[in-house]
Amino acid sequence: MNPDIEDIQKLGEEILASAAEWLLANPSSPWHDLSKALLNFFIYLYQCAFTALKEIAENASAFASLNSTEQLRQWSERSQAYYTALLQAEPFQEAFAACFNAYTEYLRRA
Amino acid sequence: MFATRHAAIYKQPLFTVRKFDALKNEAPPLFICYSLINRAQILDLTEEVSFIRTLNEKGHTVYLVDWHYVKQSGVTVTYQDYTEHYLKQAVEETLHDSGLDRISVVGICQGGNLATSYALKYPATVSAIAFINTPFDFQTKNDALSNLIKKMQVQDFIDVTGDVPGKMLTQFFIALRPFQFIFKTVSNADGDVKRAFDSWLQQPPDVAGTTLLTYLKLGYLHNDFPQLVTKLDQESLEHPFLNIIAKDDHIVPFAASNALERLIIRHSIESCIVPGGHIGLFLDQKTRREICTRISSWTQKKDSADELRSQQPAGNDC
Repeated sequence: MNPDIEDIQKLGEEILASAAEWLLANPSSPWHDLSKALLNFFIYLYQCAFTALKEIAENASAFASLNSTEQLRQWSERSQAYYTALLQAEPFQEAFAACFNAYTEYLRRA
Repeated sequence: MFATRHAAIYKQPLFTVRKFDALKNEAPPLFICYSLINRAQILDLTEEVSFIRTLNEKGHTVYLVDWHYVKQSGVTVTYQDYTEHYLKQAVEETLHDSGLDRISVVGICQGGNLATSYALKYPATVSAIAFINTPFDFQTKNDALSNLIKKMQVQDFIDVTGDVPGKMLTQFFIALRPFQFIFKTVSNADGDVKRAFDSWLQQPPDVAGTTLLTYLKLGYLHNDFPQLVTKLDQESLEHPFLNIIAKDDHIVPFAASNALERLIIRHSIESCIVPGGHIGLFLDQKTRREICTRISSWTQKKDSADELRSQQPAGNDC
């Protein structure tokens, strides 16, 4: 299954916009330091570009409504469990590798 | 930075051999071979969170080969350079300083693979090897890292990048468990340990491309380490093999490490299974103490080349 670049680009932009909006609206939140980690992760999502990742994205969008560390723990556990299972899926691995290989090609041309 | 006072007994552009003195002289010295990926400071983050200091408290003087940043060395190095030249130098300096003929080696993660390759080349200098989170079978069924690497054109990537940026490797490992990373980033209380850990995480060394490529071929692509371990089992070692495995290691899965049990036939082998993840086992106080206690008792045990595998104890939780 080949990633649909346009869909993924749109997904990546939506997630990044959502995260940025929340972080801007909550400057005093102790979670604000998280922006770098989140950004890295969203860039990763953007790069990996796989349809099934939309489910994770929907889960990620729930992040903005979390208001306690316990909720964040539950959210991260659920998301991680789903993601770990996804990592075992052959099509996801192929998409991951395809992105990595495309990145290599990008570096080569640059 | 290392938290515990120590002496650099040998230094060259690619590595330093650091000596951490025992706090009581009751146990044999140990030589720690750390991975080329990330820095060995994780073993000595603060005075309170220090794997090395815990070993010192149990009476072991610890010699550590601390690999430097490749780019700072100004040379191109291969996997064989590390195992046949630099480790040889590091062990020679350690033996000279300690007055020993052979030393017990503790290999951590990839450091265990490096130690295996080294011990095959220079078996007379090694009395025994303990492994911590070291992969041996790189092609077990649910090894996410292995499954990804086999599909990635790693040779092309290394051809383009040369040395592989450490930050990219870190990001790659985080990409295996991004949500867990997010939660830990947020929930861990600020303090000396968190600051030291963040500093460690943010300053990974680049890895020599040629070295990494050879390692990936030996491991993930060709799965040669089972054969190398079988050869090592034919050498004369003084103690049983000790294999310490974190139950929840997402980088080196349990099955990849536990494969050592079926590969070691001639010598005896002790497995020690502890809770925690790839790095977490060094940070958690209880687990750290359990591991160090097990290593300490391991150095007191003697093995015999004639000992049969059937006489050994089965693998167990620490």
